Formats: sequence, structure tokens, C-alpha cells
Amino acid sequence: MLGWIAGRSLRQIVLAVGAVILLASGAFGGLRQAEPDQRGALTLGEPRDAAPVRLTVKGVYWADDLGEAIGPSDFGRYLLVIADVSSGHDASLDSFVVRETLRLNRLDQLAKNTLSRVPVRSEDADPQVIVTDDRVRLAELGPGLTYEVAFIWEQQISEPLPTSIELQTWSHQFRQSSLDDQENWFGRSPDATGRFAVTKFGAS
Amino acid sequence: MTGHGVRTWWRRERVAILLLPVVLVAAVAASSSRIDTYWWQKGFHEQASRDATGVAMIDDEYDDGFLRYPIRAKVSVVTAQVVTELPDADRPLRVPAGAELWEVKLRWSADPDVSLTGCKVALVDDRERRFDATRSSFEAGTTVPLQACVPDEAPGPQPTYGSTKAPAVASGEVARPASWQTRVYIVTPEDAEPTAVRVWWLLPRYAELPLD
Amino acid sequence: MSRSQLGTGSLVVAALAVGQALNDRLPDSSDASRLFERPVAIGETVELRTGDLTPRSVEGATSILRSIGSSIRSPGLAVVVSFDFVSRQVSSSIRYGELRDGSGRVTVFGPSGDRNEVTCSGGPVGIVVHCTAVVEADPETLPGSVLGLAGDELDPRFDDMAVIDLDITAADVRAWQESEELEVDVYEVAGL
Repeated sequence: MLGWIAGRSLRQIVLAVGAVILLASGAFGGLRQAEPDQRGALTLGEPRDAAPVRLTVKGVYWADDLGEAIGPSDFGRYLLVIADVSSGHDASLDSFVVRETLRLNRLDQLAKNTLSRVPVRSEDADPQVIVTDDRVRLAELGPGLTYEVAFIWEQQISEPLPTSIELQTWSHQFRQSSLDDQENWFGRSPDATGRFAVTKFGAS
Repeated sequence: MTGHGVRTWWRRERVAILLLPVVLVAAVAASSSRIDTYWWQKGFHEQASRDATGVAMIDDEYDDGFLRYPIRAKVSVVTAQVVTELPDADRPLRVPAGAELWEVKLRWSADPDVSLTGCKVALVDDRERRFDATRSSFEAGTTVPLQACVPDEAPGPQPTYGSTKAPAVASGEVARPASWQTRVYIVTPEDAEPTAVRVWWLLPRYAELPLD
Repeated sequence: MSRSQLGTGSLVVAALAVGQALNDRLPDSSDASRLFERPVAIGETVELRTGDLTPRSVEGATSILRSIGSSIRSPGLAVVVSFDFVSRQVSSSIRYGELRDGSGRVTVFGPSGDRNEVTCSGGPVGIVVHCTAVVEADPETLPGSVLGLAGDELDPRFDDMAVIDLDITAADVRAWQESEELEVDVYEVAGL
């Protein structure tokens, strides 16, 4: 084998090495070191940095009617997570970044979002994010502000009431979209999970 | 190469040099589709013809790739004047500070089968200002006509956007008459001196009706 | 390789090198399309492309009661900037807001938020409309803040932006934190 390689001209060897590098990097997206997935643990009352959002889960609840300003759900059941959210970034975060930071795992028949009433797996369901103090929707999250919010999902009442729910946080990466050169927090990746007991909202 | 020197070169290449500016203009023109899409199509660039009596012939077309229908009508100005109250008003007219209200009456004629939905009417002045017709920005003290270009009670065929169905008269409605008048209200500042009424559906086509 | 091949090759490499150097030196597209900033103080008028903008007042509170839209309670302070706008040639709106606080942090907001909101839909040309911009901010960094206002929320490139010096002092911040609920008239066509 070595004899065969030694017998090739310099040009052929250079081309062969170049081809190997190209194939290897092409197949694996480059020669840079890939970072392994971070999987952390989410616990009650502990702040979690799911960049760029800092989230502290305070409680997980179910309800059938959320009263003033929100009312009952046509699906029959609300699942809520009360959490503190803040951002360490020096510019405001668009509302989709906060909404995508928290998801429920392994549940079925949740409303896809407030407009599309298609029931989907919980991993695909988009929550409403509402500030608990004044019951007004949170749009952009400004720098240096900490809000207590409710992440609210709707589930078909035909599904069994979960006694505990697995929460999943997602972190985002600030990069440029290859479609329209826009810079934003694209690129979600899983951050941390935690399982929490579910109690009735309002009952203390 | 026979004959050296700059002069010989110029003489040899004279046809090509003469054609160079022509080719340059042709190249720019061939690359100018953006001028059409982003400028010509977005502004008032194709004025409708007017006859000797001041009636404008509107000849436009709606085409979204699925639904296509003609927009053809004749329009002229009956009156355009500042008003201080509306007919049948039960309260005095209220306009914003420094404003006055114009009432423009238009006379129309069109084939009852033609859809005239979605028109816009405005007053324009010689300072390139455009005062759009509005139903808000003033308090009339009575109901103001909903439609600027067709009668409220018989608007004629309406298209169903998002379908390829031809525009049709809504069930229960009568056909639009062959000719009719409309009343449009426009808020302008007190110092405005409008010179024309402008009517349009889809740019770049529009009709301009001079006021005297 | 022959002499002419070498010559061609080196010209190609030279052209690539020049192109790369030029690319490095020219501003990138987001910088080249940045807004034209027009500074203005409270009470002064600035001419933007679409009309004249005059900031009237700056107020703040922890709780806002709006005449149209949601009333909110803020974990920080809700700042209310009232301004007048007069469209110049065509009825135009102000739909883009950008608060830059004293430490350089930025909050971007538009016309359809329930909390932060710019409310300034186009009035008739030549007629004054009273508008407001409400934005929540961290009280610590409010002194030294400026507010940018521009026409198009979705594509605010290449256009004019009024940059208002809010002139907020630490004393203002303390007073606002202690004040009661602030009633805000969100939008009004002057005289109507």
C-alpha cells in the first residue's frame, strides 16, 4: 500500500488529500468541533438560563376557566406554568423567542395555538404568554425587566388529567437567516427538562 | 496587424464605437424590470383618457393569477365644494382643528355586469398632496355613504377573492343601474386648494378629473 | 505551465483578492440601510420624510390606564411619550418605536402590542394627530434614554427616524415609581 502511494505523483497526492478533506467536512458540516447537546435539569424555584431567556418555574397547574380577561377554553382544559422570565440580552426579544423557550413533553390533544385550533402533540403546541399581574399578553421582552408570566396551553378535556407534566426548556442561538439575511434568535435546541406535579389553579 | 497608432485603431473600430452608446442604453433598458415593478406599478403613471366634456374612461383590470375581471366605467365630477353640514344631519358637523370638509359628487356610467368593488377617491392639489376620502376624521351627525363609487343599495357584482368564480351580485340584491351618482367626503386643511379629483382601483392606472 | 497561463492565473487571483478586500471595507447591508436619524428635543419639531413630528411630553408610572387598549402594571416603569404628527403629502403613520436606554440597551416595539405600543395611525394630510408611544423599561437605566420613532414597523430601512432626547433624570424616575396610576389618552385627531 505504501509503495503504491509513494508511486503517485505529488499532484495526485495533493488532490487525493484535498478530496478526502472535502468529503469528510462535507459529510459532517465542517472540521470545527461539534459541541455535545446540553441536557440540564429543571427544578422548581431554580433559575434556568435557556439563552437568551432566564426562566424560573414557580408552579404547574390545570384549570377549566381562567376568569377575567381570558375565560374558559373551548377545548375544556387549560394547562399552565407560572414562571418568572427575564432576558440578559442587551436588546428586546421578539415574542416568539419567549413562547418557544418552554414546551410540554409527552402529552396529546393540545391546541396548536390560539388561532389554529388543530389538536397536536404537546411538543408542537405554542403557549399564550400572559403577565399574571395585569393579565395582559407579553409581546417583546425588554432588557432588565423580570415578569411573572403564565404560559398557557389548552388540552382536550377528553384526555386524562395529568398528575405530573414533563417541562422542556429550549435555548436559542442568535444568527442570520439564510433565507432573508434577517438576524434573530433562530436555531432552537433542547436545554433542560424537569417533571412537576400538577395542581388545580387557584386552590391554595 | 497592419498600420499601428491610435488613429488607425479609432478608424477601424468606428462602427463599434458608434454603436456603443446604443448598446449601453439597450443593456440598461433590458435590466430595468425593477423600475417597472417597484416604481411604475406603484405610482400614478397611466392616466385614463378624458373626452371633451371631462368624462374619464376608466379601463382597468384585476388579475391576481387566479381571478381576472375587467374594471370599466365612465366618471365625471358633478360638484366639489366645502360643506358645513350634511343633508339630514341631526347634529352640527364637527371637523378636526384647522380642517374643512369637502363634498364631491361624481356621476358614473358602467355596464351593470362589471364589478367596481374597491375603488379609491381623493382630492389632489398642486403641492402633490393627496387627500383621501374618509368616513372617519369627522363627525357627520348622520349616516355617510359607505361606497365611494357604487350605490350602497345596489353595488353590483362583487368578486370572491381567493376563488376563480366570476364576480356576481349578492343574493337578494338588485342589479346596479346603468348610471348613477355618488357622494364622497374628504377632510382637508383649511388652506388646501384642490385642483382635481382622482379615482383609481389598481395602480398605475387612474383617472384625474380637473376642478375649475 | 506556460507563461500566459501563469499570467491569466495570477490576474484571476488578483481580481479575487481585490474583490475580497473591497467586500471587507464596504459597509454590510444592515449598516448601509440604517435609518437616517433626526435628533429632536421635547417641544421642537422635526421634519421626517412623511411628515412633521413634535414630541410633547414624557411621563411615567408603574401602572397605566389606557383610553383605548389594555391597562398594564409594569415590573419596571411604563414610559409614555406623547407626540404630534402631521402627514405631509399622503396620509402616513408612525408604526416603529425604538427605546435606547441610558446604558445603550434597545427595546423595539410596534403598533400592535398590548403592552409596548406606538399608536399613531395616519390622519388626513395637513391635520395634527395626537399620538403616544408606551414602552416598559428598567428604571435603573432610564436616565439618558432616547426614543426613536419611524414610519414602517416591518421594514424600517433607509427611511427617516426621529430620535427624541427624553431628558429623564433620576429624580423623574423616583417620582414616577411613587406615582399613582397614569391615565393615558392614546390617540386623538386634534379638535375632534
